[in-house]
Amino acid sequence: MTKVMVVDDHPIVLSGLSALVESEDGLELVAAARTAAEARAITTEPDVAVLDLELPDGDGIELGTTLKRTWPGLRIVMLTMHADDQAVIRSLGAGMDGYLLKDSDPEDVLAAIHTAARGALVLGRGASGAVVAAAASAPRTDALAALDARDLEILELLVQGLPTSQVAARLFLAPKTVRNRVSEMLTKLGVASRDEAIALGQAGGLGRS
Amino acid sequence: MGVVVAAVATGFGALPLLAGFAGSSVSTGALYGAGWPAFGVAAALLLDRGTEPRVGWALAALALVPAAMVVIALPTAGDTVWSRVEDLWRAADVVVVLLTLVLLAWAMGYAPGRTQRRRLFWLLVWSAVVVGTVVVADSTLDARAEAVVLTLGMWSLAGLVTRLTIASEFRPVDEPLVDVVAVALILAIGAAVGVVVRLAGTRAGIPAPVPTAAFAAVMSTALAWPAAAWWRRSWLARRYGTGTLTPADVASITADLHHLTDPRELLAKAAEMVAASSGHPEVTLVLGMDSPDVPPGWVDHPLLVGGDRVGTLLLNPDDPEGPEPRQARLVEQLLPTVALVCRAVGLAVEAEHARQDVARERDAERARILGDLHDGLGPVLAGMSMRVQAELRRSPTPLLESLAPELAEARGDLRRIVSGLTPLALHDSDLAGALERLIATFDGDGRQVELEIAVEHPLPREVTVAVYRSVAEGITNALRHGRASHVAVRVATTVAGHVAVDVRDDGVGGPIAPGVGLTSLQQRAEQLGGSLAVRPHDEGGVLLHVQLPTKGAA
Repeated sequence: MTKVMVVDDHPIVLSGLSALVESEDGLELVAAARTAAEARAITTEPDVAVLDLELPDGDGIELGTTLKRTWPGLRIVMLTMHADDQAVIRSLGAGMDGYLLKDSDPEDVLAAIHTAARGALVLGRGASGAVVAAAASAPRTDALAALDARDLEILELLVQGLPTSQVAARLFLAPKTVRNRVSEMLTKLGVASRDEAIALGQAGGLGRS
Repeated sequence: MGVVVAAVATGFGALPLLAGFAGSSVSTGALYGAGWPAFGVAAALLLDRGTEPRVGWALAALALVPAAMVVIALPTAGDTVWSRVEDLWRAADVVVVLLTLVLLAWAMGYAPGRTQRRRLFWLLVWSAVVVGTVVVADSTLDARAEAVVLTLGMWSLAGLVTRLTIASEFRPVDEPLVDVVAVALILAIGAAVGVVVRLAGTRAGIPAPVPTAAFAAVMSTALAWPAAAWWRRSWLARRYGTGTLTPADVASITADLHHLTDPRELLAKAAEMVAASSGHPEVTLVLGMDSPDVPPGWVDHPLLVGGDRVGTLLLNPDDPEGPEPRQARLVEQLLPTVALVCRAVGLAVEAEHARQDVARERDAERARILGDLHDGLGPVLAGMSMRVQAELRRSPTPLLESLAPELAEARGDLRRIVSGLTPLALHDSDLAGALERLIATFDGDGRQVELEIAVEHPLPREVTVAVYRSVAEGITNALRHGRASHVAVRVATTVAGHVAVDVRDDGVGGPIAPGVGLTSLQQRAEQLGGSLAVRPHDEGGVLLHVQLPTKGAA
């Protein structure tokens, strides 16, 4: 009998996952928690833990690391709505044993738990690169969102490495106009220097085309 | 007061001439003084206008020269006073003329600057002509003829000095020189033709070779005139601008206007037009109310529309003393038009920025909504699916049997809606990679989706997103409404600077009613300057064709 623990803050997911585990022969639900704190308070040692990547009071991967320290033999499968490569790499790098999308077929979820229990690595659909960034989360906090098209046009040229005079010439503006707009831009971005603004622009994907 | 003095001086200067009349003829000694009263008239004119009184007074003094000559000659003369005056003039005329010119040069003075320099130049040129003529006349002609030459010389000098003093600007000195060269050229042509006709005519023994030659010379001069005028005009236009825009200029400048993607490029065109018509080698236009940095030697004109500054026109006159007055006047005339162009371009740029802002906001809003949808609905569907599956295993009922696949389909739909419509899929990746991943979400379950991609260069971001959405919408429609089992997607850039998207399916085809997705895509394509068409394919199924220009706000 494989003892399974599930942690997810979403009540419908938690109840669905619990019911699913209980319905499977060979699996036994030993604990269900909604937060990282509840999960850490559990004393029954499970064989497999299914953890949400994002918990209200912390990060699923951190929780997993803590649980593994407590129970070195524990196998952990990360379950998430968010299929991005970074999260996959981070979980596997932290020693987790699998990565699965929540909207996978329920049978696949069960199969993954069995696979993890056997000690093999689980990479579900999505984590293998099929959906990835497309299944996006809330929009990432775009540092450049505060800027309008007029600002972006100038920042784009600055990122390309042009000096103020050339930016002005390219846009048919007076250098003074460009300097004024750049200083307004620094205020909008909340940075102190042009270089910081340029770094933000580069991070925001400007100057690539 | 000055005018009175000038009139008195003129009177005194003219006295010897009046006194020299003997019957119907005038004595030669008196005739020598006939030119000088002209200076008195010029002095009256200048002193009346009040321009440069020093020149006026000098001219008034020059009017007295004949009287002075008579006074100098008188003590040594008896009753032969006019022959004594004549001898004095004959001996001293060159010196007197030289002293006159020195006095005039001193009176006109020299101050640095283009106008002063050109004025002195013309005075010197004409002085040289007058002195040369007088010297030649002195040594070759008899006294009476010399007196006439001197008179004509003084009248022309008085006229020139008046003109030089009154004029506020002068043409560049090379312009009249070009005129001289042009005239000399056609005269030389006429003379050469005349000589040739004369020689040939004499040899051939035609009657009246001389009138024939003269006629030929006049005719060839007349025929050469337009050519010389054309040469003069084109030479000066190269140097100082045409002063107007020829249709050829306009045609060559506006030839490639329809390739413009940035309205600001119109400013470069407007600057070219100003440069071509005014003869400035470099002209720059700047938008906005701020003063640009003016390079040394350049001239700047603020551009105003309705009292608001909309831009600045910068000119490099290629002459440290600024543009020629004629060029400056032309630029003044062009300023209102150029200001309107600036205003129009400024508005176009603002409109373009507003459009981009709206598009960005819409993208962000869409991403936010889709994110909420995914994060809110996704876990609910996932949890319900697991719950239903668990119940189904425990106690299967027909309801649960049908619910499980429907939930699975709903999960797939949600995944596709989110992945197909959010541009965030493209955030960190190239178009090809994003499309491959997109297609992988559709592929399988007995359906086959093929992708062929031939994109030569990176596309502008807006175009990339539009291509991605077109493919997503095309496949969704093919599978959902067309019940297709095979979808072929082709994305390729064309030589003509477009990217074409074709999504072809083998579905049921038939009439296509564009839904929200297609309509929004069509609007997007048109905003980007492209087109979208959906039509039944000849061999069955439906073909979605989208074409977008790849040039743009890249």
